[in-house]
Amino acid sequence: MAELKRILLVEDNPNDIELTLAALEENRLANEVVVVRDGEEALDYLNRRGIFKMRTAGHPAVVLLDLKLPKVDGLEVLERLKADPSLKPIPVVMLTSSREEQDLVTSYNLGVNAYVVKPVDFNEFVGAIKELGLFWAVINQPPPGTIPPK
Amino acid sequence: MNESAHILVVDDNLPMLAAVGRILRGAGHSVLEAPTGAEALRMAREYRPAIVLLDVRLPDANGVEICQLIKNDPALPHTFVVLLSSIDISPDSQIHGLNAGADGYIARPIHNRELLARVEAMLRIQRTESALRASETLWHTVFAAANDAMLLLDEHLVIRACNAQTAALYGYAGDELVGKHLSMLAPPPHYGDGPDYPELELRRSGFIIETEHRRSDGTPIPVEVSGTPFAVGDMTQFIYAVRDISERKRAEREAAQLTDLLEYQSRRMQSTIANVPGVVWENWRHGDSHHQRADFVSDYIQTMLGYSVEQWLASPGFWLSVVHPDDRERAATELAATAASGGEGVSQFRCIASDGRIVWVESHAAAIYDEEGNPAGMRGVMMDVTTRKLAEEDLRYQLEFTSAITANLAEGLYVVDRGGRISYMNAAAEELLGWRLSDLEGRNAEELIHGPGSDARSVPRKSIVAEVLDSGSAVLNHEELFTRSDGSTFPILCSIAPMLDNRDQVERAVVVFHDITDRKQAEEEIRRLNSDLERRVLARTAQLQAANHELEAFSYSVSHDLRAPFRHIVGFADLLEKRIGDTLDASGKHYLTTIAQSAKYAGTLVDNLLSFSQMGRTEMRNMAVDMNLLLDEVMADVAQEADGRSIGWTIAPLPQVEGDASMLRLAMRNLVSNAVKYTRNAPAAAIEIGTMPGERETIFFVRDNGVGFDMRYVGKLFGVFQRLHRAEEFEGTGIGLANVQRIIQRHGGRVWAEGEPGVGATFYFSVPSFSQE
Repeated sequence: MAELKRILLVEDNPNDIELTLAALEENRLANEVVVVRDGEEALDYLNRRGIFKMRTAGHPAVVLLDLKLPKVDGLEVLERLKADPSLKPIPVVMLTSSREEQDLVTSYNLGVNAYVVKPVDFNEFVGAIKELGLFWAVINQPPPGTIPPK
Repeated sequence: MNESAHILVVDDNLPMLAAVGRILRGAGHSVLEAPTGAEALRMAREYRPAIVLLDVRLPDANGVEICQLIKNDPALPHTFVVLLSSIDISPDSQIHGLNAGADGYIARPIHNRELLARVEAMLRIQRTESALRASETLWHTVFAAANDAMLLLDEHLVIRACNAQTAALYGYAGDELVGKHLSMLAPPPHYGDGPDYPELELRRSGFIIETEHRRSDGTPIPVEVSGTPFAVGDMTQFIYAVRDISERKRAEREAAQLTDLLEYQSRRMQSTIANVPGVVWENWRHGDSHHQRADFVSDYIQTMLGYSVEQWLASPGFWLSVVHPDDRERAATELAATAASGGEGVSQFRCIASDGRIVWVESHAAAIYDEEGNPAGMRGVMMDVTTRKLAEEDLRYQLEFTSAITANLAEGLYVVDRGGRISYMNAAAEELLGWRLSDLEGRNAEELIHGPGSDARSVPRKSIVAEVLDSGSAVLNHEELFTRSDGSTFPILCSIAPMLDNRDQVERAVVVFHDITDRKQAEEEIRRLNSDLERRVLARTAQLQAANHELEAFSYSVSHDLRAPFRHIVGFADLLEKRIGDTLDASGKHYLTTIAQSAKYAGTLVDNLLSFSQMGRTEMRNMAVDMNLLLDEVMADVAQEADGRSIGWTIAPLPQVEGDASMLRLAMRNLVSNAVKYTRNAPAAAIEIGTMPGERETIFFVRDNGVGFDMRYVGKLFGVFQRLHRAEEFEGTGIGLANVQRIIQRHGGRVWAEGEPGVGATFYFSVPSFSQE
């Protein structure tokens, strides 16, 4: 397995977190996953502030972002990320239940790198996560400034 | 010479003297006696006897000498001297005596009777001579005294004698002409082939000719020559009387000219009269009678009324008889009045033409006066004014007609000039404005009507009327506020049109207006209702939009929040299965599987529901859709559903339609997918996809030979979540066809289906040729 880079998972639903992590684990992609529970935490993490002030410098290789989040929702996180020149390069993948066209449009307009709708079928879900993880955390060359793999 | 001519007897023999005297006296002659020569001379000179009987032997003279003396005496030109001798006279003596001038020689003795006879014979001769002389004198007198030039011409037309006038006429001296040929005065006229002097042909009769003679200076004179031939022996001589007719000729020419002129004038007048499109007439008073008779009437009477001039002039009362009975009295009275006034007058009356037509006649009459200034008659012109009369009638009728119209108009009408003066108002205008025409006399009505109460924003009325008057074109449907006489205002709609006067000038305009208060109110009402409506529509739209938003929010929620739990159920069920699947028995496994499947199914339902609702909300992006390409995409999609089965595809070329490509794709996908699904159990699955033409729409169909359906339930086919088959027979959420219907309906088309259980089914959908939303 190639070196696994860090994944930031922004998800508020514990079930979804568990399932996603389980899917990642199944594909041995779960090592470097940081989970934050809402948009604010996500921003704090990426900006290395608040409770994440002391974390290692550098960006995750990919942000898996849900839409519906408490405090700051997914679209706003996306917007802020892409508005910030230092954070803009970070690849963001929308990982959400919504297939709403409006969400798609807005996300892409904001510059999201990928938009994945969580399939109901778990196997499919696992498959999707695998591919996602494999691509973004392993194959894809992240932008400079990304936390290097251990 | 009277018969009692004196006879002077001279004899010294007194008894002889007396005896002769006695004899002669006895015959009734007047006798004078003279005894001596001297006495004889004296008495001859005194008494101028006709005859002197002279004795040759006289005491104091020789009778012959006395004879000579008497004969030579110019005072005694006509005295006959007869010598008387006594015996023995020798013939020589007689010869001597006769040669001396004696008119006779009587030798004595002589019988008394013989003497007497001789004397009387001589007297006769004398008388003849004196008659001749008298005649000659007369002739000479006449000749000389004639006014005309008198010429005596011989048979060769040589002038023998002429009078003083001749000389004067021709400019010659009297004696110059004698002996000259007539041609000196009268150059041969040129009668063409005729003779030079026709006189010569006229020897037997007299003639009078007009010709041209020549004066001594060569100038021609027009003359009238009256020639009379007279025979002298067997020779003819001519007496010419030549009159200078230059004057006469001139007078004749003048007269001719005058006549010509007169004729010309007369003709002209005739022609003028003839060209007068009217009858020229003249009546003269005859005697003391007041009645006039038509003396002259021009030919036009024939044309105008069909009566001849003769008829008209025939009787004095004729013209009146031709006048229409109703107008007769008036016509006669009017004419009489004109005559009485001595001036001029015009009268109009109807006449009945010879063919029975009624002709309106206008008669202009004027009195004629004689030299003393007394009225002598009348003259005038009558004209056919029927056309004019009819035109007047027409006009009157038109006038009445238009008056009736304008009077009865519900709209107000008035006529206004540049100065705002109103010259006419109809009843409606008066009522609407509260003004009467008489009140507005002389005032600038425009200002009053447009008065202080009017809307300041409307164009000042003066300029509109002025505009119309200047441009000559009407202004229609102009809205304004008018002011009533009481100061109140009311809205009106008016039209202003220019009026041409009789000189084709535009000086006034007609304004027609009506009160649109009601209309305005109605308009206001409508406006109010409209804005009300708009408000309500806006409100409703807002409501709907709000509802839509809610719906969208709801969908969003659903899509997000509802799916998640289902996902979780499936996920954890799976995980569980992975974790403890080995420890479970068949039932346990079955339960777990069911849990997962149910959750999956729920998820699918949610997805379908979501997409179904999306179908209703998404904006359609219409474009030209190539249905063949679209079908290819669908087929590719559906391929894996076919799952290796061999299906007999019959695909016809599909036309282009206008619509939302993705929606249409979904619809087609659903239909094809269904066909594939429901032919699963068919031994030789056959699916046909084709098209049919339709009126203003394109019809597509998907036909399969699958399980089909009972037509009794065709109504439920397109219902949401409606299924006609059991879940274990054929999976599905029952939303596919509902989606198809939704999509096609949004395209403005229709869907329908035919089926037969165990045979197959055909699903149709149509897309209109022009997309409708």
